[in-house]
This record gives sequence, structure tokens and C-alpha cells, in this order.
Amino acid sequence: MRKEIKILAVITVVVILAAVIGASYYRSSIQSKRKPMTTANSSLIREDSPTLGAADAPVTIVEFLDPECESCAAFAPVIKKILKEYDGKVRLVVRYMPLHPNSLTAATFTEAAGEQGKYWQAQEMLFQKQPEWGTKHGPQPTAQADVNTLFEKYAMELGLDINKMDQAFAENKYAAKLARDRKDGQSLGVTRTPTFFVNGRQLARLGEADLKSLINEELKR
Amino acid sequence: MNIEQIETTSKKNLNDALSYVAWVIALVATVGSLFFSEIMDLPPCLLCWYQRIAMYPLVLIIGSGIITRDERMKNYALPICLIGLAISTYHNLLYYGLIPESITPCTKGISCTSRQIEWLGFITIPLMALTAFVGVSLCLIFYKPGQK
Repeated sequence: MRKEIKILAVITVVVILAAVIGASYYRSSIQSKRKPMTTANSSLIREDSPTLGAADAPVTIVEFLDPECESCAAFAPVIKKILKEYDGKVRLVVRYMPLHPNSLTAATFTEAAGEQGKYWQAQEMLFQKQPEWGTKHGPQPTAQADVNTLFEKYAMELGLDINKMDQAFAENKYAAKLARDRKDGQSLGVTRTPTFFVNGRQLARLGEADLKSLINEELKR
Repeated sequence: MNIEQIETTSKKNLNDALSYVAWVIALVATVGSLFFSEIMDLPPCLLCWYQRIAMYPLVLIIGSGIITRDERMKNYALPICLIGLAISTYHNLLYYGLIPESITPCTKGISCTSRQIEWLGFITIPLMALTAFVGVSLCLIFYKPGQK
């Protein structure tokens, strides 16, 4: 082998090794720094946040989500599965972190549906139909569908009272709540969706296995 | 070996060293920027992306030049590097407030002037990028093809 190739290979290995060691060092240092917040932390859970699961469950998962976020939609079935698996032991609290153009409209839709007792059905519907109403990513976004017309259609499919729904939109009824959620999220360092807190401990990496292991850790306490 | 020969050999060695130094700077900058974004989860701003576009290929171009002993790599690497240097200079001027931010192209995502790292009070990511571009540029400018 040429001398040059050897030199470059050795330097590359050294630099990558340094990065890998640095990465594991960095990861362990932030994990120990990431002190669990108490579940009573007022900016983590608010009284009026949508909740699913037993109220006295030992583990509370707080999810900061955006109805228009593709990863949130993709991860939603996993969350439902986990709630079923840990029935009675885990409770889910939903907070909003609106980051997309239609997020606020969509969040208002789910909240208004919640008032009519159909929060989770509305959330599931928006996640499932996200390709229809959500802003398209990519170099050539397709023309924006009329979100309001689509939402009216969804409301009818869910059997919601359209007048009440229209009123919620007209009054912009949940603006303060959504703004507060966003502010709370920012103060907690939420920059991406979905972000999960398990009994106040932030999930470092999004994934079913990671979330489950954090839940199990909390259950063992 | 007479004095003249020694002189030409040391000149050649120095010239070779310049290409290696340029390559190492580009490699460290590449791995470092990936470390910031992938390990430390710091989102790169728009101008950072443009600088990455200039920095990443330098590792391959200079590296291939070294391995194939093709000194013409300077012709390809230097223009890319100078473009990166220009973007980096602009970024630093914005970052340190010498140009008002209202005229930046960064309107979406993270702002190009948000401070994410400040080591020892003055070492910031844009400054590190600028240092790397200056370093590679200087090495390549002084690198003289045809030193036998």
C-alpha cells in the first residue's frame, strides 16, 4: 500500500475515534446532568391538558406534539400500544408544540372535539389524514388543500356539532392555551416534536425501546 | 547529497506537509461539524449548511490529490475553499453584529446569529469555521505544484 494511503487512513481513524470517544463522553455527561423534574412541575403538566389513562398511574408521560408533525403521526400508534400494554400504570398527557403552518388550526380542531368528548378520535383522525391536510415537505410542495373544508368534513365524519366547532374557530377559543403550551415547551427546552417526558425525565432518543426502558426504570422506583 | 539537493528535498517535504495540514483541517472541520449537529443536537443554520457544502468535498479532493500524488488538486480545491471562506466571512460579520441581521437570508429555522457555543468566552462555531477555511486556504495558496 502506498505511504500516503497509510498516513491518511491512520489520521482518519484517529479523528473518528476521538469523535466516538467524545460522543460517548458527551452523552454520559448530559444524561447525568439531566436532572428529573418533579411531576408537580407546573410548566410540565397543566390542569386542562388532555389526558389518557388512569389518573393515579405511577408513571406520567408528557408528550409535546404537533398535530401536523409527521413523526408525531408515525409515533402515535406506538404510544397507543404502550398505553394498552401498561394499562393502569401509565398515563399520557398531551401538550402542544405548534411548529407548522396549520398546527394551530389542527390543535384547535382537536381541542374543540375534546369539548364534545371526542379528543382522541379527532387526534387519530388528523394523524391518519395528515397527508391530506398537512403542509407537504419537499422541494415542490403541492398546492395547499383548503384546510377548513377538510376539517369540516372530518368533523362531520366524527359526528361533531359543527356549529360549536365553528364557534370555537371564530372565537379563537384556545389561542391562550396553545400559546401557553408553546411557552412552557420552550422553557423546558423542547425544540422538536414529539418530545417525551417520563415522570419529568426527558426521553433522549425517540423510539419504542428507549421509551419503554425509561418507563420500566420509573416503574421500578 | 549536496546542499542544493538537501534544499530541494526539504522544500518538497514542506510542500507535501502543506497538503497534509490542509487535509487534516478539512477532516477535523467535517467531523467536528457533524459532531455538533448529530451528537450535540445543535441544528445547523442556513449559512452553516452552505459552508458545509464547501468544506466536506475538500476532504475528498485534497485526500485524493495526496493519494494519487496529483498536485493539480489545488486547482479544484482552492476555488471551493475560497467560496467557503467568503460565506464564512459573511457569517462571522453577521454573527458579531458588524452587518445588521435584517438583511440576512436566514428567516426559517435557526437564526444564523443565535449563539449556541461560546468556549472560553470567544470560541464560537462560526469562528471555528472561519479559522478552518483560512487555514485550508493559506495551505493551498502556499502549496506549489511542481516542487520536485
